Amino acid sequence: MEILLQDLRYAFRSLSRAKGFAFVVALVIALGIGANVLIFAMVDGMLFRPWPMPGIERIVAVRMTDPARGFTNMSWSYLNYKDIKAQVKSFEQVGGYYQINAITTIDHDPEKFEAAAITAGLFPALGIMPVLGRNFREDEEIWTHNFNQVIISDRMWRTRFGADPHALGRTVRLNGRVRAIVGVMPKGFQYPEIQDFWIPVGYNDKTDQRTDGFVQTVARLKPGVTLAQAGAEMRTFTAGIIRQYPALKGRSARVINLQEAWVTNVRPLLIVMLLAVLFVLLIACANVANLMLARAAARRREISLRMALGASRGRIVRQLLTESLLLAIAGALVGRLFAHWGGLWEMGAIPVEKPWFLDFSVGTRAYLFTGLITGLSAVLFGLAPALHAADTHLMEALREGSAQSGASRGQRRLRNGLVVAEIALSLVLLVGAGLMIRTMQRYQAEGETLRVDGLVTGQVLLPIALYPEDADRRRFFRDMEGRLRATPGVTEVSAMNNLPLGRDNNTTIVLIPGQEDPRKGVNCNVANALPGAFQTLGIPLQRGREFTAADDEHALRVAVVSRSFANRLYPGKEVLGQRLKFDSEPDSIGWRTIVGVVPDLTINVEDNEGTLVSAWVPEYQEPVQTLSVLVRTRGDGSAGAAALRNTVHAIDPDIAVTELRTMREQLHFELWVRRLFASLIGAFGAIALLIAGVGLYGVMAYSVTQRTQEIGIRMALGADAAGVQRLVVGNALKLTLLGVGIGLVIAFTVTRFMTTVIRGVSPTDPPTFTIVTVTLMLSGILAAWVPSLRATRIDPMRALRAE
Amino acid sequence: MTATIQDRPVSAPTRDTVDEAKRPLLRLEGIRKVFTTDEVETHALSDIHLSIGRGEFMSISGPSGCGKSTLLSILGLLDTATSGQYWLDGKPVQDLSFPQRARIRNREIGFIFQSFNLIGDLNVWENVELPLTYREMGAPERKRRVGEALERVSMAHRAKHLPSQLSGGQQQRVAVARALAGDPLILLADEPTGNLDSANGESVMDLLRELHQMGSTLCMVTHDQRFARYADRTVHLFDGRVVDEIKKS
Repeated sequence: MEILLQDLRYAFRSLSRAKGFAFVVALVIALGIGANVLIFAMVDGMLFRPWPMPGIERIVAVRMTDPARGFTNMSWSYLNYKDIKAQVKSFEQVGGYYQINAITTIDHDPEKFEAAAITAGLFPALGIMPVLGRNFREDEEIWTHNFNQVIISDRMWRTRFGADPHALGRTVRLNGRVRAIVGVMPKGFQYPEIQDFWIPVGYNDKTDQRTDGFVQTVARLKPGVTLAQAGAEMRTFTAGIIRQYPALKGRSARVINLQEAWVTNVRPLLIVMLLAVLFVLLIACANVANLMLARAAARRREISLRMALGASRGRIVRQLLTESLLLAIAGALVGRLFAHWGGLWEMGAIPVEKPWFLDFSVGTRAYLFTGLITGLSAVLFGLAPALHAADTHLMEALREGSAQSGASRGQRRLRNGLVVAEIALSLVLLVGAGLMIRTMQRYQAEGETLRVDGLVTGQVLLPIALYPEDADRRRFFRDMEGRLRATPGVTEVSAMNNLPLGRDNNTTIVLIPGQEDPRKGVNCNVANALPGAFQTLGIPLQRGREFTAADDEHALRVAVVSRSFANRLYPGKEVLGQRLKFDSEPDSIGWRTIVGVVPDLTINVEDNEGTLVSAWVPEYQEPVQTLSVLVRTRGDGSAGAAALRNTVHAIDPDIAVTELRTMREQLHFELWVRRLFASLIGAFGAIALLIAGVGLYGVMAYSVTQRTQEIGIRMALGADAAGVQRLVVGNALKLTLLGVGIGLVIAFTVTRFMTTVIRGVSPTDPPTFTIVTVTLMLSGILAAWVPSLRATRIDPMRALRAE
Repeated sequence: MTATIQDRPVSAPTRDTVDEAKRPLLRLEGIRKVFTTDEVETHALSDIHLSIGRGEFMSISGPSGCGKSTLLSILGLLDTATSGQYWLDGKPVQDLSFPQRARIRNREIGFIFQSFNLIGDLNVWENVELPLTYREMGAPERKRRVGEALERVSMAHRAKHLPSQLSGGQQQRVAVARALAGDPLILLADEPTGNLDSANGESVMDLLRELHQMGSTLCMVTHDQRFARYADRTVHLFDGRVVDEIKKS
């Protein structure tokens, strides 16, 4: 212990006399550690931190699958859910839910909240029950029996009901139905994401089919039952219901941990981010190792003296590692501050509320992680220089005049190798950043092709309770369209239920004559549109026409399809006039005729595996509940926003217009996830480039100092300034080229694994690789330029006399 | 300036037995040292036979490049001979491992260098204490030894000073105290006056002579004949060989 304290004291004193060195090292390490702590907090919150539910390890998601079609996350029909609950023995509790929007009028104006329709089994399966009032009963899961009750979140209870202990029985008008509050959930609970209201699901024996899939099923395993056992039982169960209901043929089931099921979606992106910050840390460590080597060379005499006085190599290495550890700790403290600021920026860059179970606060694991990478960094950047320092020719180092003697060939190689490694890792990181930025740019460029001037969009949801029939919805939207068109200043009005470049899409299996087996059908995005939607958005019709007011419930069923749809389903054929139907639609609708073809459009910017096979159908034929209404006015669009809000309010004061934005804002908003991660990895790439550039500069500057005599001799023998500069810059370029070469090989290998986080860009995207390579080469030249200029100013006579 | 030597000898001869007294403290037989760089072999030392008795003060002299410092570094176990045998206190030390050599350097040998080689970040006390910390000696014992060593070289009043705050002569005194503190078998001095003016040089030599008179064994490399005369015996090296040996009458 005393020795440790002594080492610490010596290390502290040694570093306090080299404040500039310590500052630079701590800063570089702080960048590396700060980036890691920042991303680890995110990774910890998403991947590792157990969700706040008792026995979360026993809570599972029960998914229907269709292996032949590659579907792994299908929901169950209510009837199937009831059978699971009744028959599957592996589960202690089974519950189900689906998410809905809740338009609620609590104060004055209708507001939109997140809600869920749930079964009575959900809260027991999650192990969390209302703290006030009661849970739903199973007899309330039946259509019409489920109209009158609601459970609210603690947040809603506190902010809108003043934490009234007598709130039970008070009513809320939710999606057009007046419901009495029967329960209040515990503080913080907002399952599945940010829900404030829960209503019972409503099974309708007249309309709900065994093949419908909307109940996301959650279960609690009985103690001692494994996931594998539950999975096997669920597959046996599914085989049983297929025997009873052949329409479900091809379906199977899987059981996964509830948290794991959510994590699966975000894991690829988080792994990319973790790799990125690991690279930043490695680059920082390589850079600092280089600085430590230079310092060790300058301290060669001191280290030799300690060894001459009896210090073992181990003791010297320990002493130097203690210094490294102190530097790493200083770096970690500053890095923690960087991570804090980064976290504030990150939270500010997320424009939506985070799910209730995500906790990004710094906990024990984050502190342990910080400690671990601090120690690891100290070893990474301190060990090689310490071992080199302890491997010295004692007497020679102690002789007068030898303290400034140059680095050994081994040290030079190590220093050059570290710079090459920095450049190689920087290239990989920059290529990764480039690919993510290019993906985002691709979407931005797609957005630029849309006609957004003067255009606003707002979401209008028509609750089933108020608009139960197709005719009700048609009437509302026709009325709205007509009133808006008649509003002064409004030049165009239309709507879609999923706008292009959004974050939501509906997919279904599309069938064409002759290919009517759903198991062999093609997955297709499907969206509803009002007349003129493509024109309003500036999407050109490549063939045929778009919908008109005449495409209504009385007319021939029609569809507009994407270029990929035409190429995939009718390759080499005239697609106009061809027919299609959707597996999800009732047979009564029958075949639709294709009347138009539009270019391929990205529907969901976050779905990396999403299809470009898309089809649109007229809203007035089979209307949906929710539309994103588009209103164009002359000017900046504020008039359009007011017109939309006023028009909807005038038609029905209970209907809210939510997510009201200009189209430009809308496109910007929808890209927030991509922008956040592209910004983060771009920042890490910039840090890596800066550190590697400074590292190369340091090596070249040191090399020029070491070669002063050689350069002096060359100049004395007639070398001119350009020749000397070529010598220095040439050496830097050799190192840069080597680093770039190694980095390219690694990048070609690594980026293949990025296909899950990039879209529309090849993992070997030539422009990205070219730009990054050129950037690094230019950085290499820039880093060597100042040392090369200094080399040209060497006075040959002074350099020669110095020896 | 003359150093004040305290009553208590640093190397107490009483610890030696009668037999040990007859045996040389240090003996070299057939020592060769060849440096090989690329394809060139340089014979730094050839066939060196040498012994130093307990309590003896020997100097090694010779022109620049004759191998004096190489010989001293082999004596101090800072370097190894290419061939030959070396006994220190009757024990063969030629083939010891690096940690064993570090241990002997720490416990049995005291070094005094031309350029003092004090660590600039450590104050006088800590510089003297440094070899004792590598011995993992307890703090009270270290304190006693450092205090005594500094008293012996009259530098106790400068214990808190940094080397940069001392004159060259004072720095060399501190270096001598550091060498003494470990109570070594032998003090090896490599041009101890080389960086000092003549007054300070003589002062340091007086200090070394007094240490010798108190029983210490010294081996000193010097090319200054004025200071070589302080020794009982002077060995002359030329081209890596012992060419002459002069004993003080």
